[in-house]
Amino acid sequence: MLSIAAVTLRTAVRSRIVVFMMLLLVFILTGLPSAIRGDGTLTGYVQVLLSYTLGFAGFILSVVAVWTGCTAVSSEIRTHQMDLVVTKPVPAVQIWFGKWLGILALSLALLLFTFAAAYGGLRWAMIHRSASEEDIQKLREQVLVAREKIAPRDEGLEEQAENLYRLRQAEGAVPEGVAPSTARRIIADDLRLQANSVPPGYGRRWIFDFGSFVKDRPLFLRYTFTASRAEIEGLWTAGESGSRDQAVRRVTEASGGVRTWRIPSAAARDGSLTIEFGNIHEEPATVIFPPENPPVLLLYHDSFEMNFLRVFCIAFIRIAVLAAIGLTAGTLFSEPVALFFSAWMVLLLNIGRYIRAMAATDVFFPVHDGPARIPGLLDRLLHLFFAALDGLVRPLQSPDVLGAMAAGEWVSWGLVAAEFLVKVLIFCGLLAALSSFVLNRREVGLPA
Amino acid sequence: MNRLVNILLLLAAVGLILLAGARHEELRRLKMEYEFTLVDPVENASPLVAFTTVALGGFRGLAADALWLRATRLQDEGRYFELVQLSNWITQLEPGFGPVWAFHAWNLAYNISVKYSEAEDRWRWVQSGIQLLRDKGLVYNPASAELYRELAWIFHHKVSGVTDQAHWFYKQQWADEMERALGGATPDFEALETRADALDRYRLEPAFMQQVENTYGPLDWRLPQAHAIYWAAKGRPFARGFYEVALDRIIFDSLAEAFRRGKLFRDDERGVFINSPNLDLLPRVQAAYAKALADYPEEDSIRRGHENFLREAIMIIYSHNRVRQARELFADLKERYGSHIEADTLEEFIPAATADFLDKRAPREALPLIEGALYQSALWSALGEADLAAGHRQLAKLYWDHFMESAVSEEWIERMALPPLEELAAKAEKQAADYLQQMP
Repeated sequence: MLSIAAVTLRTAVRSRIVVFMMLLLVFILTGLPSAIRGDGTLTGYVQVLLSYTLGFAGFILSVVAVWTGCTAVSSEIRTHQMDLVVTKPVPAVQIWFGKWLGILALSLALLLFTFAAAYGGLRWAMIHRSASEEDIQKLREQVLVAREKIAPRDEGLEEQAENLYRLRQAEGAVPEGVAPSTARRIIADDLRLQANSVPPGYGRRWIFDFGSFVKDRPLFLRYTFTASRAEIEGLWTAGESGSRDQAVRRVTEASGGVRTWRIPSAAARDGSLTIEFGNIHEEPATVIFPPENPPVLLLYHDSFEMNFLRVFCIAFIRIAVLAAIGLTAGTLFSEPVALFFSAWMVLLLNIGRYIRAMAATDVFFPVHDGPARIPGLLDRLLHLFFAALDGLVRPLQSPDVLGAMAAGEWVSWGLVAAEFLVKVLIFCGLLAALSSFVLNRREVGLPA
Repeated sequence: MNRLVNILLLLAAVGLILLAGARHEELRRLKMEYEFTLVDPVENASPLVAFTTVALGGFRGLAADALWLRATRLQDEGRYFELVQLSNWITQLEPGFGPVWAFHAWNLAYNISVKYSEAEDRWRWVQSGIQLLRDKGLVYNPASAELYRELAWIFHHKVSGVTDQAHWFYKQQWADEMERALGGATPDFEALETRADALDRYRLEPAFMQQVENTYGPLDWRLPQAHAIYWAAKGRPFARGFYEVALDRIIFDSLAEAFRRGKLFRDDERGVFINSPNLDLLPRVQAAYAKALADYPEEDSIRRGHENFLREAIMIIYSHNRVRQARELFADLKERYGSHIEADTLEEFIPAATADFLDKRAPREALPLIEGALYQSALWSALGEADLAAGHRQLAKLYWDHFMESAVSEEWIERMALPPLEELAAKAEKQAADYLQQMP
């Protein structure tokens, strides 16, 4: 198996496409940092640097993995090199794994180079780019960290919505022709909106539950709101009411942007933190915290370097999956078909957001100027199709770990382990089994 | 034999490439003639942009769409740090298509800037919008009246106007930058020619600045009005149809604004930054309006704008003790727009207009009244007429209090509040002293 891996690695390195891609990778890693622009701050620059260099490099490495995977088996079958291997007492599964390991070895080397270059670029920027003290502090506290994102405590709105729906249904208040799922959604949306609206002179409270936390690091509340006024005056408090350590902040903030409040750690105790917002604007204006994007609390978890390492692991897992897809496609089909098939698979994995949106749709052909339509047969069929597709694609989708890392958010080892289990052990294992099965039955020595 | 064939094929390939190159210009001309393309070919493109646009061909539209979708999503999510980069790339994928530049510059300067509460943050985004148009868009589209208009508009409306909460900060930052680059309110344009590279950053051409100064000046080049006029005038030769009137409008509106607030008094030690009327500009504004009225007789809005300007100008001029000039302006107002003016004499007009202006509660109208009264006070004080001086000072305080009573919120105060009366008085004293010094 190791010999096959070594041969695969050697062949890949000799491939012109792979060499071109490697050169492109070097070009991007060296050229991109000087070409990119952030928002004018060091923090913004570092965020763009991380997302872009690693994002572009990840794309190139994905192409390398898919291409090498597709050609590793199919081109050997086409050129009859495979005849020499399959006639030896080597199980098909070893051939597949040998080739996969060869591609992974190449990918690992390139990925290590990529991450090392990105980290070097980051350190270089920190030393050589001018920035204010405030900007540097922001970078250290909000980007070069791994902060755990804590959502507010569930207030049982879903249950309330279900109860309200049943009540309305019993009263006969749900109009005929409205699909139950639509009625439930409208009621739930309405409740969520009410709960997150803060009329003038009123307040809104959120409770954030967490375990212990690092006491010498500040906490950050990230929130957004909208209001009918361009700017709103509000009063934020965090911590025990009346306590000496309670953090209080009076603000006048523009509606619509994403805000961050740095809360001194003294305001919080192990266990939970209560945060309140009071609408104290002089003129009447209701403040709405978007229910789909509620405030989140960010707590320091560990260092940026550890986060960087975990993102590296997830990037490697993703490339391993792509290599496995390419390799399987190369086993099943001829070279060009395998490339198209792999490209289609990669596309499918990348449009998961849209597939999910389609799977959540009841009525695909709505009537815009009449009463709401009940889903018809075609709607149901399409719904089933997208739901099935979503079910297939969702487990294979990767969360946006680069975006999370650039925002200083924690990427957990749990996520790395889950990715490894689902994608490498289960998915790649299934692909290996399928490929071995096909390779055992495929006639590879046919005349050209 | 094979080698001979290969050489022949190679020669044929080279010959065909040369032939294609020779026909390229003609094909491009025909493409434009038959309108096979929506935009003019890009000139002055950097190698990277030229390569991208050629290499991606028609697919660059798809790439621009993908980036645009990402930009929209990030903006919705409040992740702004990438947007300058994305705007740069999107525009450079469609470098010859003016509306794309205009949209992204507007998005940065207007939509994103106001998402921030801190004035420094806002200014960074306003600058990004300016830079996108000035440093990139106009390089690739040097004959786009649309882009000149967008750039001039940001200076005229966003920086010079009062609609943005942080407008005072923008004005101060811009004045600081221009002070460093130009060395003062009225730079020595010939000297600037010798160090034109210092202005490269702002893409200002000293010769053209001189031309603008000669045509519309005296302008204070530290203030945004001068730059709005500069960019509008720069784009004027390329304007057709709508853009002719749009650019002219920015010129005469900015000139009028420079008349009202185009003289800068600053004292960094005391934190004083006051924009005052630049009375010397009156003939220039009048000439610009006269030309616009003659060029666009069907534009009713220009007539209304001119009428309003004359009303304001009379008040400002009168409050600066130039009664004869105010009387001439009033006669002009009566002659042109007599049906709208109830007063028959200047003496009837002034009190009615004062009440009207104070009721409007906009600093643009109220400030000249207060400044005028303070100027009179300082003048009479210097001439030894203590009672008269005190009376005018009292009047100024009355106006000031009346205006500030309308403060409805913190936001209003930050955006609209007048400078403290003491600062205005100190500025008026200096003005009066300068005036008396010039007297024979």
